[in-house]
Amino acid sequence: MSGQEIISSQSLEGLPMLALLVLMLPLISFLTCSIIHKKYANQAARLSTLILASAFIISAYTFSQVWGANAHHFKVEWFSIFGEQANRSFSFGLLIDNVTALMLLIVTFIATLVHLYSIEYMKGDDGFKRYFSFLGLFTFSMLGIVLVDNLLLIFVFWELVGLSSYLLIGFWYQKDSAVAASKKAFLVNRVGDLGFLVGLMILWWQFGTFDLIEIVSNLNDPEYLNSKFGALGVEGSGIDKMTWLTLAGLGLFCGVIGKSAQFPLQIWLPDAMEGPTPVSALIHAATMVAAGVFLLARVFVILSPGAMTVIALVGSITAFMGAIAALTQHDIKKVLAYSTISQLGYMVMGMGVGAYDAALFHLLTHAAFKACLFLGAGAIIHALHRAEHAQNIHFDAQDMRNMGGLLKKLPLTSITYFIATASLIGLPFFSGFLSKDAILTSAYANANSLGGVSVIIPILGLITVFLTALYMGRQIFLVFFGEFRLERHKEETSGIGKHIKENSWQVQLPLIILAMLSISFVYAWSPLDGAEGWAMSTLKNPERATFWAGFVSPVLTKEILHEYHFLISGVSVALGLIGLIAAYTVYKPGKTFEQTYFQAQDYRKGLLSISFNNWFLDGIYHFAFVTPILKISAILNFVERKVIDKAIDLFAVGNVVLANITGWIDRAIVDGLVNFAAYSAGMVGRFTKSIQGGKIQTYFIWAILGMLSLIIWLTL
Amino acid sequence: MNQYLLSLLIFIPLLAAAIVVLLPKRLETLYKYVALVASLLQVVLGITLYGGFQAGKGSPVGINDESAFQFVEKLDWITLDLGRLGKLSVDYFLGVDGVSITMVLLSVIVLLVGVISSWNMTEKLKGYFGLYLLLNASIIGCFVALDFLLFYLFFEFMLLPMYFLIGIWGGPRKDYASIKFFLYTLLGSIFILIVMIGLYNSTIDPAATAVELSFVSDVSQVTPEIVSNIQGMLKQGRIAEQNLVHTFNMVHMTDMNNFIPDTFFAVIGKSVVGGLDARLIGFLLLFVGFAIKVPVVPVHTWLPDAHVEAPTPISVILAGILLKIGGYGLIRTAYLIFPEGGVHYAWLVGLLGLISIIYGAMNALSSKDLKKLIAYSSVSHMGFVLLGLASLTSEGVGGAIYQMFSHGVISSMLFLIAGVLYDRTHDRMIENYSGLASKMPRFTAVVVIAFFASLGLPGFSGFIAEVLVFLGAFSSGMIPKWMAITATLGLLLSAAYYLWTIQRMFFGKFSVRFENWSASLTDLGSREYIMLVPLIVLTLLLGIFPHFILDMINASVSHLVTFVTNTGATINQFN
Repeated sequence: MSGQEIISSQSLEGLPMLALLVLMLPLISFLTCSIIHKKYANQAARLSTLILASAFIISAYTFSQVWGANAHHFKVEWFSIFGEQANRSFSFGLLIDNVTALMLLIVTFIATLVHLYSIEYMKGDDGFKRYFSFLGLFTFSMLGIVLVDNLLLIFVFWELVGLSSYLLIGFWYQKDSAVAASKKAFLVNRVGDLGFLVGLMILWWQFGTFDLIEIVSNLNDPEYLNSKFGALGVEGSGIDKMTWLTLAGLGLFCGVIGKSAQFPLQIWLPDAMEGPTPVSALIHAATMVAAGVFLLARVFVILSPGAMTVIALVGSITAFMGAIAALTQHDIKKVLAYSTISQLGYMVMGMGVGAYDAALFHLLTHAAFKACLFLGAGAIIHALHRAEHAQNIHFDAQDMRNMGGLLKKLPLTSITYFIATASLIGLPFFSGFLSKDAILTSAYANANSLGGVSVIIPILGLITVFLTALYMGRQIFLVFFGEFRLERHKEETSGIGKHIKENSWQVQLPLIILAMLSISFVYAWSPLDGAEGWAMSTLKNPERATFWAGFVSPVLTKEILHEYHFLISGVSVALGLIGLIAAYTVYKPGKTFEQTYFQAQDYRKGLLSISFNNWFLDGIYHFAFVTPILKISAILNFVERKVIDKAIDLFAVGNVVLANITGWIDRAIVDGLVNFAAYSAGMVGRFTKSIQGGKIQTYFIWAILGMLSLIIWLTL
Repeated sequence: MNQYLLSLLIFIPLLAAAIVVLLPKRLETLYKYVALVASLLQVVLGITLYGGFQAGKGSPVGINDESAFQFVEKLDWITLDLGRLGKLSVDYFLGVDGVSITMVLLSVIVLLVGVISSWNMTEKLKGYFGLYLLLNASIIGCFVALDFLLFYLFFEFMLLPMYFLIGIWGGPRKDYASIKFFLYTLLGSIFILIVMIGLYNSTIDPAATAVELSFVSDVSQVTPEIVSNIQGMLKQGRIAEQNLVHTFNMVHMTDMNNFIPDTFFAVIGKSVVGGLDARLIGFLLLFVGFAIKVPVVPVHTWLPDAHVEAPTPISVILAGILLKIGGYGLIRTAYLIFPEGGVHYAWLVGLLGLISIIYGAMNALSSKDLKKLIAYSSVSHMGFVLLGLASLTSEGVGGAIYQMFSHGVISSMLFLIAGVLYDRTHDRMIENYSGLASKMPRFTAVVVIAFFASLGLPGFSGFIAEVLVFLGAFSSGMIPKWMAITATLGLLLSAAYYLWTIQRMFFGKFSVRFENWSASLTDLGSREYIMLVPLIVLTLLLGIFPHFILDMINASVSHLVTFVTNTGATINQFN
C-alpha cells in the first residue's frame, strides 16, 4: 500500500516465513520465561535477550530485502462463515512492506536493547523472571500489529499489547499507585478501542472483509464503487457512503487516540510511568504508543479528507497540550511522558496533514531519541537507587528537585542525554530536526492549500517547538547542572554523592548506541533536509484511493515542500533556541535560583496548576464519567434489590397468602361435602399444601396429568 | 455404536444414578467415582460424536429438515388413538445438528468439571450424586430431543434435581434462592407448556397421516411427493379430523405446511387473540419462557441468588450449561417454529439483549460479593446471545452460539475461582481481601487469565464470539445500528468491573478481614489445577482456532438464518 509491488503467496516460504519466525521468537521467550523455574531466572533473562537479538538480526535481513524493493504478502484462511446465507472469510495474513520492515527493525532493535538494559536494571527484583516473560509477550504482540495484513488481526494484537502494557505498568503489584495506573491505562485504551471496533463494524458491513489490500482495491475499482458499495452505503441508513467512510476512519482513529495517547485520552500515559523505566522506554515511548501512528499509516489511503482534518487537529492540540503539561512536572519521567504525548501529537498531526513519510520518519527518529532519554532517566534513577541502598535511606529518586549537578557524577549518561535532548528539541545536526521540520513544513503547506481551520495546525506545531525547548532546557538545568541538591539540602542525605556512580555496561551500551542514532547523519547526508535521506525517499506518500479523487485534498509535492522548508526550519530553529535561552534565564544554576525557585515553587495554585495537573483532565473525567457511572450502577443495584426483587417477593407472598386462603376454604369444604367433591377438593388442598410444604416431587406427576387433561380439554 | 450414541449419552448417567442409589451407604466414598466414570465415559462419547459429525461445506444442516439431522434415533414412544380426536403420537426422537452438537459437547465437558469440583463434598453423598447424575441425564436429553414433549420432559426434569441441589447443599440463603429459582423456572415452563399444547393441537405428522389414510402401509415408504400431497389435502381441509395424526415432532412444527388450517397456531386462518396474531403470541410466550432461563433482564433476578447460594459445582453447571438451554430453546423452538416472530420482534429481542448487556454489567460493577459479580457478568454476557440472535445474520447467530459455548467454558472457570476462595475462607466479599497475589501467585495468574478471557481479550474464545455478534448486529437489516454501537459499552464496563476486582482483591499489600484466614489461604492444589487448566486451554484453543466450532455450526446456522428470514417474511405476507 505504500506504492510497492506486492508479491502474494499462499504458501509460507521466503520472507513471510522469516517474518513469522520474528513474530514467534518473542512468544517463545515469553513461554520459556513463564514456565522455567525461578532459580534459572538469570539464565532465562539472558536467553530472552539472545532470542530478541536474533529476532533483530532476522528483521535486519528482512529489512534489507524489502526496503525499497517488493513487498510480500502471505495470506491463508483463519476461519470462515459459510453456508447458503453468506460466505465470508476471516483471513490470517502477513504483509511485509516498507513500513512493516521499518517497524520490525525499530521494535526488535529497541526491544533487544531494553532486554539487555533490564538485566542490570531489574537485577534482584522478586519478579525478575515475570518481568522478562511480560517483555516477551509485549514484543510478540507489538510485532503482530506491524506484521499482520488485516484490520481484525491488528485489533487482536492491539488488545494484546494493551494487556502486556497493563501487566507491565502494574508490574510492582503491591504498589497501589502502580495498580491504579495499570487499570487506568487499560480502561482508557478500551474507550478508544470501542471506536476502533465500531470502525471495524462499518468496514465489515460495507466491504465484507478486513483485508486492507482488498478494501483498497475495492475503493479503487469504479465498478465496485458504483454498484455494491454504493448500494450498501445508502441502504436504510440515511447516511451517504462518504460519511460512512469518514465515520469508519474516525472510528479507527479513536483507537489511535487511546493507544497513542492523543487528546482527549492522553491521561493514561503519565500514570503509566509507574512501570519499570525500561518498560517506559520500550512501550510507552518508542513502540507501543507509536502503534497508533502505524495504524494511521496502514489505513492512510482509505481515510477521508474530513477524517484527515480531524486527525490533524487532534494531533496538533495534543502536541500543544502535552508540551504545556511537561513544563512544570517534578518527576523526571513525567516530563518525558508528557513530552512523548506531545511528540506523538506531531506524528498524528503529520498523518493528518497528509505527510505520511514525515510522520513515519518522526516515528523512527523519536523511537531512538526518546528511548535514549528514558533509558538515560532510568540510568540516573538506578544510580540514585543504588546510592539509596548504600546509605540505607529513602528519598524520591525520580524527583528532579533532588537532583542537580549530575553531569560531573554521571558524565557518559549526561552526554547521551544531551544528544537525545538536542534531537528532541530539533536542533540542526540531530535527527529530530529532520523529521519534525518535515512535519511542520507539510502542516504549513496543508494550511496554505486548505485554509480555514487548518491554519491552527502549523501554529500550534510551532508554539510546541518553543515549549519543547523550554521544558527540556528546564530538565537539563535541573538535573545536570548546579549543585547536587539532595546532598546539600537534607541532613540525612549528606555525603550521598560519593555513592553515585555510572552503571554497568548493560546500561551504558544501549545509551551510547541510541545517542548515536539521534544524530542526523544516520538518516540523511544533508543535516538540514531529511527529504533526500534514505527513510523519507523510500517512504513516499502513497496514492490516495480513487474514491477520494474529486474531493479537496492538499497537494504536498516535493517542489512546494522544498519552497516552504527553508522558512519553516528557520523559524523552528529560532523558536527552539529562544526556548533554550528562556529555560536558561529561569533555571540558571546559582544561589538566587536555588532560593527563589525551590522556596516559591507551588504548582498546585494559580495559572501553572493547569500545566501541573495536565489541564485538569483527570478531575474532569472523574466528575463527568467515573462518578456518574458508579452512581448509576449503585442505583441500578438498588432498583434490582428493592424494586424488581421486592415486587417478585411480594408477588410470591401474595401467592402464599392466596394459597392459604384457598387451602382453608378447601378444608372447610372438605368438612361440608361428601365423596367425590370431598375427594377432589382434598386433592387440590394437598396439592397446594405440597407446594408450601416443599413436597415438590409430586409436582412432576401433576404437571403431566395437568398437561394431559389440558390436551383433552383443548382438543374437545 | 454410533446409532445409539445419543441414547448412551443419556442413559449412562441414569445408570450411574441407579448404581449410586443402590450402593450401600457404607460405600459412599465410591459414589464420586461412579459419577466420575460416568462423566468420563460421556466425554469419550462426546469426542466420538464430534469425530463422527459431518461438518463443513455441504454437510447435512438439520434445523428444519428431519433427514438432515445426524445420529438420529426415532422410536414410537406413545401412540394413543383418541378416536374422534385423531391420534396422539409421541416419539422418542433424538438427533443433533450444528446447533445442538456444540451444546452437547459443552455439557459433557462442564459436567465432568462439575464432578471433579464436587470431590470434597461430605454431606448426604448419595442424594447429591444421585441428583447430580439425574441432572446430567436431563441436560443431555434436553439438547438432543427433537420431540417437543420429550424435550419438555427433560426440561422439567432438570428443575427438580436443581431445586434440591441448591436447596439442600446451598449457602446460607439457600431456601430463598431455591424457591425463587423454582418458581421462576416454573413460570417459564408454564408458558412453554401452553404453547406446546397449542402446537400439538395445530400440527400433524404428514407421514403418519399418510399411513393413517392408507396411502402407504409403512412410514418408511413415504416419499416427498406423498408428503406434499398430504399437505395439500390438509390445506384444502380434505382430511377428516379422526385421520389427522397430531405430533410433538419439533421438526414437523417448523414446516408451515404441517399446520392444520383454522387451528390456534395455524398459518392459514390465523387466530387472533386480543388483537394480536396468535402465532406471534406463541413466539412471545416461548420467548419469555426461555428468556427466564437465559436470563434476560428483567426476568433475571433468580440468577444472582441461585448462583450465589448454590454450591460451587452447581453454580458451574447453572452458569455453564443451564443458561444455554435458554438460548438453545429459543433457537430450537421460538425461532424455528414461529420464524415470523423472530423477524417481527427482532427489534425487541435486540433491545432486551442490549439492556441485559448494560444492566448486567452495571450491576456487576456495584456488586460487593465476588460470586454475585460473576453472576451479573453472566447476565451481561448472555445478552450478546440475544443480540446476535436478533440480528438474524450468519455472523450474529453463529456468534450467539459461539458465545454460548464460550461463556459456558469461561463462566465455569469463574465460578470455580470463586469456589477456590470460598473453600478456604467461607467468605466471598470483595472488600475482605486485598493483595492475594503475594500469597497465592498461581491462583492470581489463573484469575487474571479467566477475567481477561471473560472481558473479551483476543486470543480467548469470548472475543471471537463477541466480535461475530457485533459484526452481525451491525450489518443486520433487522435491528438498528445504534444497538450494536451501544452494546460495545458492555466491553468497557466488563473491563472496568474485572480490573477493579483484581485491583481490590489481588493487588496491593496483602491483608484479609480475619487474621486466621491467612493460614488457610494456600495456593492452588492439584485437583484445582485439573479443573482449571483444561478450561483455560479450551478457551485459548477456541480463541485461536475458531473453526473447531464454527465449521461444525456454519452450515446449520446459515440455513437457519435463511429459513427464519425467508419463512418469516412469507408468513408475514399472509397477514
